[in-house]
Parts: sequence; C-alpha cells; structure tokens
Amino acid sequence: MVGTENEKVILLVEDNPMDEELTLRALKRSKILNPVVVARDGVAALDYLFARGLHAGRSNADLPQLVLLDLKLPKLDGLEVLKEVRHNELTKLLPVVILTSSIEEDDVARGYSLGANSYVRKPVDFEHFSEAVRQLGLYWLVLNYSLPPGRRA
Amino acid sequence: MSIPLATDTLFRSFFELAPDLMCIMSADGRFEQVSHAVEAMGYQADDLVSLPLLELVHPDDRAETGAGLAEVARGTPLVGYENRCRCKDGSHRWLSWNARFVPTGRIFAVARDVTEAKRAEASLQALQEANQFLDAIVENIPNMVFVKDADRLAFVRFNRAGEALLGVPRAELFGKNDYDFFPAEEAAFFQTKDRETLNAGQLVEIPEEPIQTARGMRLLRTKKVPILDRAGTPRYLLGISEDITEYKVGEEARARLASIVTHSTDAIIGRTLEGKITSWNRSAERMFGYGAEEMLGQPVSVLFPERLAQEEQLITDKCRRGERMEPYETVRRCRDGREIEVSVATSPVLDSSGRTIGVSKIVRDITELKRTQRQLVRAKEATEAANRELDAFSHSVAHDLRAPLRSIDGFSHAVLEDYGHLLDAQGHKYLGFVREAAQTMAQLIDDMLILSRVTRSELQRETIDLSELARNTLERLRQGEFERQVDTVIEEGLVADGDARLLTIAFNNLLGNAWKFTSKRARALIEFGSTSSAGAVSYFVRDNGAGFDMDYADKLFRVFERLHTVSEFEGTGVGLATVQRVIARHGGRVWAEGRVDAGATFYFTLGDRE
Repeated sequence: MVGTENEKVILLVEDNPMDEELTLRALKRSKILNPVVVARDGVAALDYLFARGLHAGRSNADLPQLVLLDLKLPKLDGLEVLKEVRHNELTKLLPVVILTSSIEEDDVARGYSLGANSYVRKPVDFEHFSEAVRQLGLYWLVLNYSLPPGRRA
Repeated sequence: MSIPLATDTLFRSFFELAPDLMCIMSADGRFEQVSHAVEAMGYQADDLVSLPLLELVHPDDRAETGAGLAEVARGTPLVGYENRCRCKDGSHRWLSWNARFVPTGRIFAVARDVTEAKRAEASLQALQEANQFLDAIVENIPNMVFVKDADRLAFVRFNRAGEALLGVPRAELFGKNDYDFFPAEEAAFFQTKDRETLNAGQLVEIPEEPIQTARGMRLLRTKKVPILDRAGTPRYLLGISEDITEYKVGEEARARLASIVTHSTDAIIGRTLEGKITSWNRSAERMFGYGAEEMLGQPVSVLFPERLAQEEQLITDKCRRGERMEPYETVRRCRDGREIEVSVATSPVLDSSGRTIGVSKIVRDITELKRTQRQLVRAKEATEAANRELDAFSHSVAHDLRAPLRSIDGFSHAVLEDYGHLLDAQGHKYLGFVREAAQTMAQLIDDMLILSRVTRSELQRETIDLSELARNTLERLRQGEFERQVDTVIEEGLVADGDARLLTIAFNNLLGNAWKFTSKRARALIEFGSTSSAGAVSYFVRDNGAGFDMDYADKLFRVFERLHTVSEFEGTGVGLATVQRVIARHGGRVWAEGRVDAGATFYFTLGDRE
C-alpha cells in the first residue's frame, strides 16, 4: 500500500463488467487498495453520490475521493452525470476523471466544458491501461490535495 | 446762228434714218419734232407734236423723268436713263434715253427701246434664281445626289451629303468616273446600272448596293433617272442615294430580336397598361396552352389565379413608374386550369419620348426546377442524416469496438500473469499473438477514424509554419524513441496556407513513415524541404530508409495497401491514404519517388486558397 488511506473511496462508474474487472485489476496491480464503489449506470452513480434510491441510508457528506466516469452508460450517460454533479453544491468540486474509449473531439470538448478534471482514454494494451490507472490513482489519491469531504468552497 | 428744227432735207433724212426714236423737245419737255421710229409704239410722228413727254411716261416713272428733264434743261446731259412709256395701245415699253440741252433752248433726245433686253435680263435673273433654288435643294438634301454626263459617265454635279458619304470633296470627283474611286467590281456594277437607266429612258431603282467609302463599307438605296434633252436624247444621269446602312443594321437587329423572342424558351408577353395582350410568343403558347391568335387583344388577367389578381395591378403600377421587377417566383394558370410555378421578370415598355406605354414580361416555367430543388433539399437532408449516422457510427466504433479489444488484451494479459506458470512456451506465444492482434485492430480503428475525420471535417485555412510543424513532429517522434540516431534537416521559413489540424495529421504520417522506415539504419537521415518548378512550390519529406519499388508507387496511397510486411515494418496501410486525402482536401497533389533500400521521397503541393 503506497500511502493511500482506506477511507478514500473511489467511485467507478462503468457499465461493462469486463472493463470493471480490468480496472479493478489494474488498481490492485498498482497497489491502490482504496475501496471501490462501482455504479453500473448514470442513475446509480447519482444515487450513490446524493445518497438516494439504493443508497438512501448513506450520509451524503461522505463523498468519494475520486470519480472515474465512463461516458457511454445506460439510463444517464456520463456527460449527463457530470452535469448533475457540477450543478449540485455538494458535489460541484468533486474530482471527476472521464475514463473512456472515445476520443471524439466533441466528447472531449463537452467533457471539459462540463467541468471534468481530466479526460483519459482507456488504452487497449492492458499494460498501458494499467499504467494509466496507476498514474491516475497516484495523482488524485496521493499527490493532489482535495478539499476535505463535506467542506464547501 | 440758231440750230433749226430738222427741216432741211439733209438733216431730216439723217434724223429719220436712226433706228432709235429721235426727238426734239422744248425746254419744258414738249415734243416739237419726233422721228418716224415712234411708229413702233403705234403713234404717228405728228400725233405727238406739242404733247409733253411726261404724258407718255408711266405714272410711276413720271416724277423721276420730270426731274431728269429739269436737270437736262439746266445743262446736265442725260445718258442711259431708263423709263417706261405708253404705246398707243396702252402697253408700255422700256426706253433708254440720252438727252442734252442745246443752246437754241431745246432738248435733243434719243430713246432706244430696251424692252426686249430688259425682259431677257429679267428672265435670266429668274433663271438664275431658279437655279440657285434648285442648287440649294440639291445641296441640302440629306441624300447623296450626283449627276453624270451620259457619254463618259463622269461626275458633273455632286452634293454635300455625297461628299460626306464618300469622304471625297466634289472638286476631286468632277470629270472623273466610278473607276477612279471605287473597286473595279463596284464601279462596273454602278456603270451597268447607269447604262441600264440611260437605255431604258426611265427611273431605275437599286434597293441595295454596297459601296466602299472612306468610312468603310456602306449600303445604299439608289434611284437613277436619265435627264433628256429636248430631242429626247439622254444627256445626263441623275442619281439619288440614301445611306441605309444603319437602317439595315437596325433591321437585322430587329429581326434577330424578333427571332430570339419567337424562339425563346421563356414565355415573352407584351401587354398594354390596361392589361390587353399585345404580343405572345411560341413559348407562351406552349406554356399556357393558348395560341397567339386567340390571346392577342385579350386581358392578361386570365393567366392569374383569382387569389393573385392584385399582382397584375402591382406590376402595372411599377411599370407606370418606369420600374423593372427582378425575377420573382409566383404562380400562373394555364388554359386547362392547371397552375404552374413560374419566375416572372417585368419591365416597362417605353415609347421614344420615354413614356410607359406597356409592360413586357418574361415568364419561365420553374415547375420542374422547383421539383428538382425540392428533391435536392430532400437529398441533402438525407445526406446530412446519413452523415449524422456516420458520425454516430464512428463514435460507437471508437467506443464499442475498442472495449472488447481491451478485454481480449486485458484478459490475455491476466491469463499470462496469473496462470502463465500453467502454460508452455507455445501457449505464451499464442496469447502473445492474441494481444498483438487486438492492439493492431485498435490501431486500425484509430487510423480509420482519423481518415474519416479528414474526409468529413471542414477545411479551415490559416497561415501555417510548415518548418515548425515538421520540427515539432520530429521532436515528438524522437521523444518516443530517444535512443535512435536520426539526423534531421529542415528547411527554414516554409510557410503555407492550410488547415492546421489536417496538416498535423499529414505530417504525423509522412514524418512518422520516414521515422519508421529508417529504423534499420544505423544513421538515419530525414529531410523536410521544398523545390519549385514553373513557379509552383512542392514540399518534400525525404529519408534514407527502406524505400520502395517504383513499380508499386501507385499502390502507396490506397487504403490498406502496404508494400512491406508487418514483420518488417508495422502499420495498417491507412496512413498514406490519409495523407492523400489531406492533400486532396487542400486542392494539392501528392506523389512519391523511391528505390528499394535507397530511401523514399514524398512530394506534395498545397492548392491555392479558393
């Protein structure tokens, strides 16, 4: 374990179970042992963040340290999720990294204009993918200093 | 000694011998003796004795004659004084008087009858006046008038309009004939007609004859008339020529215009300001189904659907103000009640004083055109929809096809990592192939997406520093493989108009290829530069790498065509096709030269800003 804190949750928004598996595997290989909450569609992601629906009992002050957001999702797509997140006082400063297959310029442009903190394309080569996930974890969970959870800007 | 009356025989006979009237008068002007010559006036010599001369003088001349006699009586001789005297029959004769006073207190006078001379003089003067009158007419007639003598056909008269027409002063013409001024063929024609006129003894009309003048070829309408003497022999030839060149040009232009109107594929319709049709061409017949004979004089309103009745008034109002209407789209009704879509342009018809007297309309049936337009719009919409689908498809290709590839690669990797100890070398190799294939396919998808983007994206030209673009591209390649020894030569200051994104893609491919195909050189050399021929600049990327066989040069730029095996040099065969599209989008051309194992040079041009 490389200086990460267990309570720092990663929210992985990913509908593809194989990609989920690969992402978890890549995190593990990189010794990032933070708990990972997986949301398999956009609605589930928002439910988790805003502590409603299935996650109604959760304290909504308890926000993840990092959201890894796929774009193409059932129900609500990633960009819509991002829009909701940025519109909400509670989550508007939440670090959100778009992790997707698409590098369509429109997607990149809309991602950034909606306030994504980063836009990373998933490489096909697993070693590259693994390296990307490692660097993301290192940066957002270790290097980058975020506002403490619940604190509003 | 006194001078006697002519009493003595000698004097008397001398007195009577004179053909003129001799008289001796008293100082107060009374006849004392008159010679017999007076009989020419119907008097007997004795009748007049003791009568005062003034009795005979025309009342109008009497006062003057009286004054003259008084002068004579005072000693001033009178010479050549003319007055009118009455004959016995009451007529008057003109007499020219010489008179002098003689010392015996008498007046000697001689009178000559000059009536005939006066008459001749008067008729001469009248003749001269008539001549001047004719001259003035001939001179000022706006047509060329010429007279030739009948023998030699040499010019003897010529007027001002003729001088202006031929550009030759009449002094140069007189005494010369047509051969002296005109080409032989023309002169022969003129003279043939002259002879024809003289022989026929009557007017000959030449409706059109070309003539070479100082102002170029002109066309004349000429009338020739013989001028006969009293015996009926032709002495002169009179010619009157009207210059009809402009008229003919105008007539031809009118004929051409008429032909254009007749054969125009547009309906051309004329009408009065009140709406009565005055002209109706063939296309109007075809378009509306009414013949000209039934439409002329009819109201144009039959062509307007009821709901457009006010449109006709609007056209009339505009034309009254002398305004034209640019083509606009509207609807007209045909004979069979069908409505057709038309484009109509109107303009006022003006008379020579500029007053609007009617309306001319050009009507084009655009029913077909509109249908085609609607089809085009639909086709365009369909194309745009297809493009949107293609975009969506590209998008999902990028996303959806890569995900399974990532799984193939990722789980192959997982098997190798977690269960590698259960596999032999062959198993490791096969899983390696699986991963390689997945990665190649991923690359292929990426390359195809770029190619599709190059084709679809809009070209945005700006000034691009190509030298800098080449330098940056090579720098990026060097960072990927910093261990390689690659010399680069970049010509500085190459600037062109182009689309930055597309050219970056092209440079990535061209320089990336050079980088790739020199990978087996211990010392690679990559150049970027320019050459120019016939003022056109070509850019080139040259390397000392593997090169290629010129026999296959035409395959280089085709999608998926490769001249090297993947084991030699990796690649998908899309890169140069992409380059070719980028250059084509710029209106340029790309071509290559190379030799196996002796490097390759890729040239390209960038078209002008359109």
